[in-house]
Formats: sequence, C-alpha cells, structure tokens
Amino acid sequence: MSPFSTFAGIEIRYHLRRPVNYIFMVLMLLGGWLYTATPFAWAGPFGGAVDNDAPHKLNTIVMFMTLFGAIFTPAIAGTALLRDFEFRSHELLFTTRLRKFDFVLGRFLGACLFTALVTGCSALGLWLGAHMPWVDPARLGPGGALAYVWPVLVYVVPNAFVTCAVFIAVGVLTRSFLAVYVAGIVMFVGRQIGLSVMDGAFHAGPQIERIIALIDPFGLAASGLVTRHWTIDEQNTRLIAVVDALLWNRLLWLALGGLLLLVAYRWFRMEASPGVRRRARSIVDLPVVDPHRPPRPRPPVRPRSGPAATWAAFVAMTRLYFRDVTRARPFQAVVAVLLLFMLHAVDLNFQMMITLPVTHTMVLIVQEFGLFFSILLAVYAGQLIWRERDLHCDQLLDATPVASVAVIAAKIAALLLVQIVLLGLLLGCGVIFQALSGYMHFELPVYFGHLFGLDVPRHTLTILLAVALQLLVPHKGLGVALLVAYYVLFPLLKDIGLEHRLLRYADLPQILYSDMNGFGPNVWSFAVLWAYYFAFAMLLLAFGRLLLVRGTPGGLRARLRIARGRATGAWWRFVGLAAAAWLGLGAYAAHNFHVRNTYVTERGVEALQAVYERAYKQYEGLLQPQLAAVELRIDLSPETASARVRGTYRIVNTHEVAVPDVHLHLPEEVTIHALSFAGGATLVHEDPRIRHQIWQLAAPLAPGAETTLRFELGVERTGFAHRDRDTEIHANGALQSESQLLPWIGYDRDGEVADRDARRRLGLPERARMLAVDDPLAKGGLVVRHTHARIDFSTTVCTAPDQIAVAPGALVREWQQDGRRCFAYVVDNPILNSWVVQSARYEVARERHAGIDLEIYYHADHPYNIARMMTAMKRSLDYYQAQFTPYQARQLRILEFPRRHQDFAMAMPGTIPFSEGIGFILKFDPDDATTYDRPFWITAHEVAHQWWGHQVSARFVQGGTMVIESLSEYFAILVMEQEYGIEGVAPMLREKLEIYLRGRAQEREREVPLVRSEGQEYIRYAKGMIAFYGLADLVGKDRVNAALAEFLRARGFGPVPQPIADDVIAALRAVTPPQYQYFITDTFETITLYDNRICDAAVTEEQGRFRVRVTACARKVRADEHGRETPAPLADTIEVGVFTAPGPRQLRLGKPLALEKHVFTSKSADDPGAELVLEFVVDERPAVVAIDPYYKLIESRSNDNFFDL
Amino acid sequence: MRLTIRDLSKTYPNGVRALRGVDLTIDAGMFGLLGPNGAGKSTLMRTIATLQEPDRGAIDLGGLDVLRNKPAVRERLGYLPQEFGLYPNLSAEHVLDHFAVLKGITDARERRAQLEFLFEQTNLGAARKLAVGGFSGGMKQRLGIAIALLGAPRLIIVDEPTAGLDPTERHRFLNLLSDIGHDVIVILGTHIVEDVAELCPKFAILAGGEIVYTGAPEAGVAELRGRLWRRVVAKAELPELAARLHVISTRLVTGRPVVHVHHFEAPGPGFEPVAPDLEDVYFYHITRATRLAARAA
Repeated sequence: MSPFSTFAGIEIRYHLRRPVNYIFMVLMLLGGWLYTATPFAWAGPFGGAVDNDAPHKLNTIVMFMTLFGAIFTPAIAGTALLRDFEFRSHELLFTTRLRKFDFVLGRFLGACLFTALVTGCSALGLWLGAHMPWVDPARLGPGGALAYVWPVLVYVVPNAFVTCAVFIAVGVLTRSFLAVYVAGIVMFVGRQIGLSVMDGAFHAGPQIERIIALIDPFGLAASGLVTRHWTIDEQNTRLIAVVDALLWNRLLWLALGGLLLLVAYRWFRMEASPGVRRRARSIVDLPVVDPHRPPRPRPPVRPRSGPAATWAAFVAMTRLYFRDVTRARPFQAVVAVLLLFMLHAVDLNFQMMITLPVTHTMVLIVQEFGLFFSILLAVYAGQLIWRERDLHCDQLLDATPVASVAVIAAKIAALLLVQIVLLGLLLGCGVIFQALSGYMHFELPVYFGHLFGLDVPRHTLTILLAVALQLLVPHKGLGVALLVAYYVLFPLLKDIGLEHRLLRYADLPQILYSDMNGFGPNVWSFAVLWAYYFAFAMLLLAFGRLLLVRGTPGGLRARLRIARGRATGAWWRFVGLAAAAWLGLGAYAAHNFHVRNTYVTERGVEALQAVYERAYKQYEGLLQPQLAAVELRIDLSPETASARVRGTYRIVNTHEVAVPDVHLHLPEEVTIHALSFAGGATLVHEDPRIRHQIWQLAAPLAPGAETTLRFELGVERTGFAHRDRDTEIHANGALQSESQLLPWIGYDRDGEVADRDARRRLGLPERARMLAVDDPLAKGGLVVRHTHARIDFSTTVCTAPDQIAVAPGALVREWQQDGRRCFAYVVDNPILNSWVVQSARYEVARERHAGIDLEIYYHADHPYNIARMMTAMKRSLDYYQAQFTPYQARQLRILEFPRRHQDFAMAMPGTIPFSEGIGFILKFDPDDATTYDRPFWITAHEVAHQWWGHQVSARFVQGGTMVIESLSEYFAILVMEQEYGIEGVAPMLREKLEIYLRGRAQEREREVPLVRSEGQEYIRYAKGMIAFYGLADLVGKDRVNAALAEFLRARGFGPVPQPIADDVIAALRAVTPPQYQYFITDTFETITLYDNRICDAAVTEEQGRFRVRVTACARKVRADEHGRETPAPLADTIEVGVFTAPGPRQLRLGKPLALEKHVFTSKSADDPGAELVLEFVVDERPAVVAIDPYYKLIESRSNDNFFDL
Repeated sequence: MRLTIRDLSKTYPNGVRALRGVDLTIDAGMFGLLGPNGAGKSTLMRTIATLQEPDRGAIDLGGLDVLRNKPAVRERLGYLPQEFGLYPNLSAEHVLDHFAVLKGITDARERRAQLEFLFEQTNLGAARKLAVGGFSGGMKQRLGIAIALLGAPRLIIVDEPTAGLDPTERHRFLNLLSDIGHDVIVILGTHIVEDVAELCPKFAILAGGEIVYTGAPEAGVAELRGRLWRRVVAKAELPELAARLHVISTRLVTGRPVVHVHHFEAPGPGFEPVAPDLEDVYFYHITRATRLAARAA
C-alpha cells in the first residue's frame, strides 16, 4: 500500500469515527427515502404516471441532494488539510518523512471519497424507500439498479470532487474554517439563485442558457437543459446521457476542480506557520523595564455590579461581537458575493422579466435571499456561541463577573445587527438599481416595512432558534446542521401532514404587499404568531441557559447538576412569564383558528371534498331548474372586510319534466341569514360542513314554470383564520365573485378532489379530469352548468364613500345613502352567470370608441400602461367587430385588483378584472425584438373572451377549453400581428412553444390532443395559439376568420346545446383545402411534433447578389399520451427563409430577405423524413437560414432550425 | 483575607480522580502550588476560580462560600488560565478595555487609569495598539496577567504562567507578580520549583490529587537538612538502588547519573551529604507520596 492510499484510508477512518458524519449520512438517507417511501413521492414534481422509481426522478433527487452536500462538505473537506494546525499536531507531522504529495493527495482523496459516500446515501435511501413493504409495487417501473448507480456516477462523485477541491483550496489559501463554510454557503445559495434565474433564462436566448448551464458547478442547470422537455415515457425509461451541455459542464468543473487542487497543492506549505495571516507580524522586542523602578501606586478602582454594569458589559460585548463578525474577511466575502448576487438577480430578473422595478418587486428579490439568511445566521450563531471556546479564551471570559445571560444576549444582539446591516445593504442595492433604470419612485416605507417589519422579525426567530440549538445541542456543526435541515425541510413538513401553524416553528402568515392594498389583512396574525414563536424561543433559550457551559463542567451529569442549581426563582419567573405568553398567544391564535373561524388543513379540504363527492355525486346528472335572472343588493364594507348580500334568483324549469327538488351548494364562508323559495319549500337535507342543501318545493316545478329564491347572506370575517385567504374583501380592492358569495344550483364537479394521487389516498375511484365528450352526464349539452346560465343581471353595490364599486352592466344610478356610496348597474343583454363585483379607490380613464364606453379603473400609482391598454381595447374591438361579430355590450371595462399569490386577469361580462401584478406594471420596450407587448396581448386576449366565452360558451367537457381559450389566444395574436407584424409576435410564439414543451414534460397523467384538452394550460393556451395561428397561416386568415365568424353567428348566445371543440373543427375542416387537412389532424386531433432543421447551407456571391443553397430537413412524429413516439409520413408545407444577421436586440434573426413555403415529402415509407434542396437569390448579404423561422409549428427542437452562414 | 479549602474531591467522568479530599488554607500573599503534570493543580485552581464544580467539599473566601456565590467571587477574582487565546484581530488596548468593562469598571476615567497602569506594569505600552494575534508568548502572557489584575481583585489565580517562556520573559513575568499588593491572595500554580523558590513565602505540593506538603520553603528545606545524600552511579545499579533506598531524584551531571537519596544516616559507601534545596523538597514529597501509595496498594 502506498503512503498515498494509506493517507486516504486514514482520512476515511477519521471521518467514520466522527458521530456528526453519521447524522449527515442519516439526513441524506432520509432525504432519499422520503421521496420513494412516503407521500412525498406523490407530492411535488413527481407522481401520477411517473413511476415511483423512474430513472429521471432518481436522477433529479440524487442530483439535488448533492446540493445539500455543499452544506456539510465543508466540515469534511475543509478540515482535511487544516485539521493538523487546529490540533497543533502539524509540527510533529510535517517533520516526519512524509511527502507533500502523499499527504495532500491522500487527504484530498479520502475527503472526496467520504463526501461521495455521504452524499451517495441519498441513492441508497431512494432504493430503500422504493422497497418498503407498504410501497405500491404498481408504482414501480421496470428500472434496474443502474438507475440508482448512474446519478451517483454523474453527480455524486464529480460533485464531491469539485466541492472538495473548492473547499480544500479555500482552506489552504485562507487557513480559516469559517472561510470554508462561507464558500459552502456561497456555492449553495448561488446555485439556488442560479436555479431561479434559469427559469427565466429562456427569454435571454439559448446562448445565455448554455452559459448558465456551464457555470453551475453541480450540473443541475445543464441537466435541466437536457431533460426539461422529457415526456412521462422518457422520464420512466431514459437514463440521462452525458452529452452536450451536461458533458461540457462535467468536464469543465472536473478540470476546474483539478486546477483548484493544483493551486491548493502548490500553495500548501508543510511548515509550522500558525493560523491566519496577521496584521501585527513584526512586533519589536520591547525595552526591558528597569527592575529597580519605584513601585507605582495602583490607581483607585471600584468595580461595579448590578444592572448598570451588566448593561455596559452587554453593550461592549455586542459591539465586540459585531465587529468580530463584520471585520473578518470571510464575512466581507459573503457580503460582496451577496451584493453581487443581488445585482445579478435584479438585473437578470428585469432583463427577462417583464415588470417595472416597482418597490415590491425589488423587495421580492431581496426576500429570495431568505434561505441564505437562515443558513448564514445559523453558521454565525454557531460561530459566535462558541467563539471564546474556539479562541481558548472561554476561561478568561467565564471568570469575569459578567452574567452568562448578558453574554448570550450580546451574541444574539450582534447577530441581529449583522442581519440588519445586510438587509440595509440589500435595500441600498434595490434603490440604486431603481435609480439606474430610471425609476425614481422610491417607496422607502415599503422597503422598510418589508425588511424591518417582516424580514427582521422573521430572521430574529431564526437567530433565537439557532442560538437555542447551540446551547441545547452543544456541538457547533450539529447545531448548524439541525437548523439548516429544519429550514430546508420546512416546506416539506406539510406533505407529512404537519400543517398546523402553531406546530411549525416560525411558520408565519405570508404577507403579500400590494400597491393598492398595502400589507393587507394578515399583519395582525403575523404579529400574533410571531410573538407566539418569540415566546417559545425564549422558553428554549431559558432551558438552554440551564445547560449553558460556563467553565469546564465535564460530563452530562455534572451539567445537569449545575442546571438544577441554576433554576433559581428569577429563572422560574422568566420561564413562567414566557410560558404564559406562549400559551396565552397560542390559545388566542387557536381560538381564532378553530372557534372564530373554521380550521381546515389542505388535507382537511380534500377530505371534505371526498365527503361531498361520496354523498352527492349521485345528483350530478339530476335535472335542475336553471337560473334566469339575478337581482342583488350588495353592501360591501371594505373597512371591516365584510359584506351583506340580499338578492333573488329567478329560476326556470327548462326541462320537459317537472322538478321536485332544488339542490343548493353554498360557499363555506358565508353566513345564511335568510333563504326561502317563493311558493314555499322544505329543507329536507342539510350538510352543515359541506353546506349542501336539498329543498323540496311545495309543488314540483312544472316544465316551463319558474320560481324565485330569496336570500340574505353575510360574509363576516372575525379574527384571523389558519389559512391565508386569497379572496379577502380588501380594504382597497375588494373582489367578490358569484361563487364566493351566492348559492350554486346543482352538483359542482369542480368540488371533487382532482389530484389523482390524493384520490387514491382517499379511496376515491379514478376519475377523468374532465367529462368525456360523449359522457351521458353531459346530456348532450342540455345540462348547463350553473355558471354557464344566461341571466338578466341587475345589482346595486354600496361601498365606502371614497371608493368606486363596479359590477357588470351599464351604470344607471349613483348616489349616497347612509354615508355609503351606491352604484346601480343593469346589463343590456343577458350575461353568463360568471361575474365579479369590485370596489376600490380608483382613478378612471374613459374614452368612447365606436359607440362603446371604454373605461380603465386603476390604482393612482400605476399609470404606466393605461394608454397601451386603452389602445389594445380599441384595436381589439375594431378587429373583432370587423372580422367576426358585433360586441354585445355598450361598455368595456378593465379593473385593477390587488396582487395575489398568482397574478391573472379574467374576462367577465363587459368587465376585465386585471391583477395589479400584470398589465399595470409590466414593462415593454418597443425597440426590443426579443420580447413582446404583454399588456397589449393580455388585454386583447381578455377582450376576445367577450366573444369566446361570453358570446359562445362551450360545453363543460373535454375540448371545451379549446373553444374558449385557444380561440381567444388566436384572436389576440391576430390583433397583435396587425399592430406589430410577424416579428412582434414571433417571440410570443417562441415562448408558447416552450411553455407547451415544458408543460408536457411536467404532465403527470397523460397528454391529450387539443380537441380533447382538459385543464392543462400548456395545451389550451400555448398549443392552442400555435395551432390556430399555424392553420390560419396555411389556409389563409380570411377563410379561417370567415368560418369562425359564421360559427359565432350560428352558435352565439344560444343556450343549448353548447358547442364542443369538434364543432369548431368541423367548421374549419369545411374551409381547409385537402392538401392542408393533415394540419388539423396533426395539430388539433393528435399529438404531433416536428423536428425540422437546416442540414446545410452555403452562400456564394454573384455580381453583388447572393445565391444561397439550402438543404432543409424535416421529420415528424406522433406521440401517445405518455410521449412514446412513432414516425409519421410527411407531405407538409413548411416555411424556409433567408435573413440578415440579428441586430443587438433581436434573438435569432434579422429582417427576411426571402421567405417561401415548400412542401416536404417523405423519402419513402421506410424513411419518413424529408429533405429539400432549395436555392434563394437575394440582394443583401444573408446571415441566417431558417426553417419555420417564426415558430408556426409544434416542434420538439427548434434551436437547430437556424443556421448561421 | 483567607482562603480555606475543605475536603475538596473531584472525579472526572472518565474515572480520573483529580482531587482527593484536599484541605488547604491560604492567606494573603504569594502562594505556590507545586505539582507534576496531572497532579490536579489545574482542577483545583479552576474549582477555586468558580469554573468547575467539585464532587464534594467546600471553599471559603473570607467568609464567602465560593461554590454557592460564584458571581460574588468572580467580582473579586483575577484568573489567568494555563492556556488561552484572545480575539486575534483586536488591539491589546481594545481587549483590555473590553475585559475591564466585563469586570464592572464602567467608569471611563477609572478604566483609562487602569489601562495606563497595567500597560506600564506589564510593559506593553508600546504594543497597545497592535493586534494581539501577532503577540509573542510572553507578551500574550503579560496581557493575560493584565486582564487578571484588572479591577483590584482580592484573589488572583495564575496557572502555569511561566511555562514556555524564555528566561528573560520569565523574570519579567515573575517581577510583575511580585509587584502585586501583599493584601491579595495570589495562587501561583506551577511545576517549576524555581518560580516558587523565588517568589512564594508559602507553598503546597500537590501529587495524585492530594496535598502532600504545605508550608514555607525554608521550613521544607530545614526538614531535610542532614538527611539527603548523593552518589554518582552506573545506570545498571539504578533499579537495585531504587528498590532498596528512597531515591528522590536521578539527574545527569556531565552525562553520568547522580542520585539523591533520603536517608537518616549515610546509606552506604560512596554517598556524600547534600545541602537540600527546594527542588529536593519537592522531589522528596512527590516520591514519598508515590511510595506510600505503592505500599498501600
């Protein structure tokens, strides 16, 4: 055995003897195990038709777990070369006959192998988990052991090599453990942030994506680039191939790791020089004192004790620890890196993202660093708590009279100051960035409110827990690891059923700032829960104080004996106080959660849904009278977040048989003050939890007969509930929809548990995501969903005197009454029973266009895009009315509402509620050809819904969403193209294609063709837009539009039977020439993907003109529902063009020089691919040749469609 | 002021009995605590310095129960541990000022005066602005004693302060100790006999966790007068000699072993009488304790 491998062996044995390493191993093992053995497996990104042991899943999890390795690898690798200095055994060791090569390489190899051993435990955990007796074998795929081993080879070993090399190099260069830890943090957090950047990098173009893929040391981004379009079938069967971006990434980092190792090797000196480089290296020998000097009188001194002295000591220590942290190089490195990340994140975010740098978006970026802060504070808490022990000056400190509590308090205070300074710096970055991008509306209160009102309290809880853990678990590394594990695993607690806020340390309500609504309604519950956990942390600290090490107690028994002595009266009083506060606040919160509100967990909601389905599904096909008119008086109190609704439903029996019973389903949050049927009815069944009521009418409702339902309902909010409410009646920006306020007639299929795995867990039968077209329950389109009923609608809404309330219809009257401001609206024509009422302090922009009142109700601080949205409304109305059918109302309104967890806009009759997060603060630069005008597009899309959705609604079955959403997307792109040309919509089509491809990769059940689209947004929006636009491009817009106009005229406003996707397809087929019929089959009725590319191209110059010879290749495959592909024959028309070079703000192409459509035909039945050689002669120098340059086809790989000459 | 230790015992969790019923009375002035490595000196001093709990026994400092009134004791205490480090990036001045505040010298003027005085005493004035990370062992040790002397302590405990110092530094340090007022109890824990010989009017010897001697150095020397003999021996003779006689030390003089033997009259031919010094006293008591223990076993 060579001395080299001996050292490696010694290193491994050394780590095997350290108990903390077993904890790391168990954590990794558990991390893997959870994903295959528990419901975790079915939560998150995997589940559904993806096998429990799908190679792609195993790959992804093992890969991600190496990232967590970066948290504890410093403890393993960082110490490999430094340990001897710490143990002061270096002089002994370095004077032996040991060779540097053996020592450095041996230690490195040992550390590296051991790191791989630890991180590799995740693969073992996955394997164990998949073989637990309770794991459903049906969920296991055919995969073998290689699927577990492969990611170990591709990620675990190389990443161990890279991280160990980095840490060893940092350790050797700085000789500081802290610096090594900091390097770990930087790698971990940098990676996390990189990950979030990667999501948006798509917009920055493929080059940027490749760069990000290369610079990620863990290979996650590169793997993502390779696998992000993988279908379920590929996920279940394929091992990731180390080629392309992933290969380069691995090679690059192995090389870099080797280089770092070399640097470390060269730099490492086997010398006795102690620790860090120090400032005062050359202290001259001091003059010897004359031993016969007369003794000087000792100056009088009177040491003080008591509170004032303790306070002075606290202040001095706080200052010292703060300086100790902030003056150290590693910390300064962290700050530098942090600020770099911040600037980088902000910059990328705004390059790719699309909003203006309003303050709350800046704050959002700062808050992205939350996990970073938690880890950083955990590390520094460990560092500070043991600072004196590490410096060997604990006995000096312990022998002073200063109170231990003051020492701990000072350390906590120093950590607090550190985070305040860091947050302040981030704030500064945000402000500077805003200024640099010309946005001068600095809202310091918003910054301060977020950073110091929300973040500091949140991080304070982290600090307190970190310190308490260090005291209770007197082992620095373990304490840090526990805290980090808690914060990393925290989001997953929910999945193992631990949902209650009072049981999840520091689980505070989310506060989503809105420019309209400020910090919103959760501030009070935030404060209460914060205080609750603060009191709890105080309790932990009090117990930590008992176990606090002062002096050298030696042994647990001695510490416990000392602890008993420390439990003095004052201690008990403190504990009593903290416990009282903790329990009191807990009781108060519990009272709010359970008594003043209904406590529901996510699991609980599912359970209730299951109860609903089991009990009432039998009524799904039951004939029910249909809603014909709604009359309401809504008293909104935005001030108290409550509302009172009095109203009537006029309901008609549209069926041919009498209806004896009416089923009502009421929103869970409303209070029923009164509810009665004209002519009388008896409540024969009521389910208070689910709020399903069955009323037996006094006399069955005869065919054609009608009756009236009168009700008075209240939305009353008291206290705060366990779940954050997304649909508050906000103080400024209330938005209430019919489904939140009013009774629903009949059974609501949307109330069932949709998630396949949740259904399995709850013992519910498998269910189609949406009713099949021919499902008898759809009754041939005769049973109209409650929200699809066409109604007469009149409302009176009264609101706060400084607010404007808006409902569908024309404003017929506005008045003041009892200090409230009231508005009465009546619709001109019947509308769908799908509407909202909104109220806020609005500014209003009004214009009258072609006899229609255009109105935008917006927040005063958001004037940026009003003109653009107004233009979009006009252009859309003009285009849709000219090409299709007239608009059905006399007013069209856009209304802003406060940001929510998801930003969206929706189309209600004549009104478009528009979240403040999109549209109003979106940014669009007309000179930037890499992006497109989103405010314009969203507006055009929502206006189009007045046709698709409101003029023609679709049956609530498979494919219905194609009629509503895909056609609205088609309308929108038509207006966009008219406004901006093909170059203006190409970025949008490129994005839609990517959304489609990623969407099908994330599909968990099965992909369906467009005509059978269900809930999937990637199909109904993304694929839908490309499909219709592509068809119109082939067949001609005029023909397609004429067919759609005819369809709208024929089916518009007709109640029953409502159309389905096949009706639209039939209309389109009728106008599509035979040679293009394939396109409908491919794109609408099946899942078909092209893989086109330019195989070759060359240019020759002839008398100032350019001849381009192009070999264009095409291929087409059909995919089944899980993505299994079979080749399909071609006789397809595809566009090929020659372009100038892209300008600085164009992604791929300059202007077109020649653009032609050609028919590509399969070479033979055996080789379904096609190849065409084309020649173009152009006047300008061409730079790029492209096939399908504008993304009009569904294509699996479009990067190779472009060929640079 | 008097420090009284009664029946102090301590056994570590690993079974090592560091202190076995130590009884000791120490009055104001320098008190030497001699003992070989592992004798329990540090345990005893840490226990007096409130940093460790004994299993049994009591310590009284001028009427104050040390084990029960740790905060009060710490207000009167100056302690210099055997090995210590300091915040490396801070200047000597900052470190001393910091500890002054921790010791309750909250008055800025008093603190400045203390710093002036102690920097002069310890001859560190020129280095006060320098980071302590670069200090030599002696400078660090002197800064340590400055910390221990802050705030007029009544009880000062220094544990092996001269170990590892060169002779100049050692003398400088001992001078410093000797300057401490005579109304203060100073416990000097050391295994270097000369330290005690030069400084301490009273001392104790600790061996195997027990006090085997306590008294004044002269008295210890006087006890041995006329009972010590020396002889140059061959190496092979040593075991036989050790079995037969009470050999208290064997040292090399110009390369040849010389034994010192305790005996009431000349133990044999070739032995000549020696005038005992404190080192002989130390070795006598240490070896005697070992012999007694061996006999008891």
